[in-house]
Amino acid sequence: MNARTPRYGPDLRTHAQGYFVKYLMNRENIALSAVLAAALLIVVANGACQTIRPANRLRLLEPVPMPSAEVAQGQTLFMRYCHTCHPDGDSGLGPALYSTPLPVVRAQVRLGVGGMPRFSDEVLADDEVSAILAYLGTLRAHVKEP
Amino acid sequence: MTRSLSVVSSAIAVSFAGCFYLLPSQGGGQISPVQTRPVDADDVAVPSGFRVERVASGLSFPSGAAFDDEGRLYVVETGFSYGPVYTTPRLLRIEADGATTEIARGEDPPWFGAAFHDGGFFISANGATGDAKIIRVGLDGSTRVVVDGLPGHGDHHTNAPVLGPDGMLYFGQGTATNSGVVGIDNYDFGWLSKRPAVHDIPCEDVTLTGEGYRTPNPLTDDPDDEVVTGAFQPFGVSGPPGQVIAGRVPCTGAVMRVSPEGGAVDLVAWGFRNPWGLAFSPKGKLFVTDNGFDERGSRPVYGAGDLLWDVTPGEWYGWPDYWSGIPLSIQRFDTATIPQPAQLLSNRTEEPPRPVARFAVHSSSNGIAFSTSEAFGFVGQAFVAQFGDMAPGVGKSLSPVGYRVVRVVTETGVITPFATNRERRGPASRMNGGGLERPVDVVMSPDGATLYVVDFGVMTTSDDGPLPQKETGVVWAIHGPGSRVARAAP
Repeated sequence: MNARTPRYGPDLRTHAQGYFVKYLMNRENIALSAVLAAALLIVVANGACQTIRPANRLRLLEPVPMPSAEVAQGQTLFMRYCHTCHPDGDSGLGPALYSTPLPVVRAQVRLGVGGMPRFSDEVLADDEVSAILAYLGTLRAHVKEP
Repeated sequence: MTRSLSVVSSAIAVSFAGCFYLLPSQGGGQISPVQTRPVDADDVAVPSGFRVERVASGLSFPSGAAFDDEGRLYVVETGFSYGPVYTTPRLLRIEADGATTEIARGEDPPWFGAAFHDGGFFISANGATGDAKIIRVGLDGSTRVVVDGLPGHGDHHTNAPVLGPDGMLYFGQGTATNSGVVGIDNYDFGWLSKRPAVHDIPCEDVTLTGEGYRTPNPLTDDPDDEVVTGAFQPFGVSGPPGQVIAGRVPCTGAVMRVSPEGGAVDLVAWGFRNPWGLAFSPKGKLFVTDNGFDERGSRPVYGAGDLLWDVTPGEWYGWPDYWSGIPLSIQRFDTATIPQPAQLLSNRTEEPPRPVARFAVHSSSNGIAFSTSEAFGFVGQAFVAQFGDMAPGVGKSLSPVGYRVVRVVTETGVITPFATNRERRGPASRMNGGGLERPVDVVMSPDGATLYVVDFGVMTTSDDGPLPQKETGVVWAIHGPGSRVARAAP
């Protein structure tokens, strides 16, 4: 290891998830796949992968208010680390972030899930993740207004 | 309490393998083919104080616009679309009533442009055969070659030239391949069978790690024929670790400059992938939009969005081994189905710079223009046209990405939507609407009060590739609050 070791590092968990998906897709495991698929349907129905109504979407054309320095910092960090897959907090490569509980978002950032890589505390310190969550809260309030 | 909730929630989320693997691709072009295109400015949403107007329609594959010194608007019809489809490239003047006057036509599409200078328009004419060149087209339609021998014949092209504050023509040269290695994806793009010797050209000497990629050979009739291809080399050619590929100029993945009178081409900066849009800020700094890696070919890369660079002359910006200043050879750029990209270059020891902004993956962030006047507002901010995703060919997208104009604060990298379809995300064809299809270029009016948007038109996607539609291109005007046109409206 030298000073240039990438800070993201190899992630066995995401590779394990990949093998998990391949395992499910194997014909012999179809029963397990069916059960998990049904469970996933419930999660999806709860809005885990959904987006917001179009009427509120246009609020994104107006600037998101910045009530605090933490929210402003969170916005800058969101643009740098999150926007490419969750543009405007909406779906793209990744799902929308308007309804996932914020503690779940923190866990997904730290652990990675599915197609999402993990962001360790070497990349994003705890207070930086908190700032991103604060920005998400402000963004959600902004697009909920009629 | 919150912590254990996090743990339980994350355990549930982790066990379901995430949305990306389990949802289908739903990109903006993934609809049944569309032939016609209604146009209705009311279907385009912009911030309060701005007004959208249709200026011209029925254009075929327009990709750029410019003003002459009398304030008249011109559009370049590319003569090409990914598909691929080739038509006649043209320079057109848009008259006040929206009619077009043909100024010049060519036989060498695609054309990208234009930059007006000293009575003529400077356009990059790529051509299907021979080398790409930059030409000057006079208002009488006469043509002069400014520079020839540009390597514009791979996936990406010699892009539109821009006049710099130093009076030189700056232009971006896109790479031949997705990530440095010629593969089957380039056969699907349509050029490998016609030009099997094309490969990327480094601007400076590079030392290779010797990674070689084994693929079937579509150029022979034998279905079992396979070849191994290395970086910066033609299809089927590879070499050992430590092999040095000599750099030269002109090269691919670079921004270069040349005098409008012709002469030697200078290297400005390299290590880009497809530096499509160039613009100088009001303070004279060069900004470049750079289309990020796709998930295709011999060395697919996942999760690489488009980038906005503030270009320092002499710098290297990382292609093919870095995205956004981050090395590709780490976990973040692989998935369950594509491997971690291997490092191709062994002699680059410095880390490349970081970009100013990072656009959405597959948004195809292309034309760029700066606001220069309070008549429009947002002075000093960059406006970028997003052509929109070409999923599933470039990779999966869970929803349409792009199909709009965004505004970027270059000091912070904050990206805000500026013009988008009112009803929902994606091109108008996806919602039977009359708004934006695929914005590809933006140009500020000479008085700084109106942003003109060049809209390429309809291009749906299918398993066989893109399906573009001629005569569906549009030019929109977005009048700012201080525009005389806006004030005159009833």
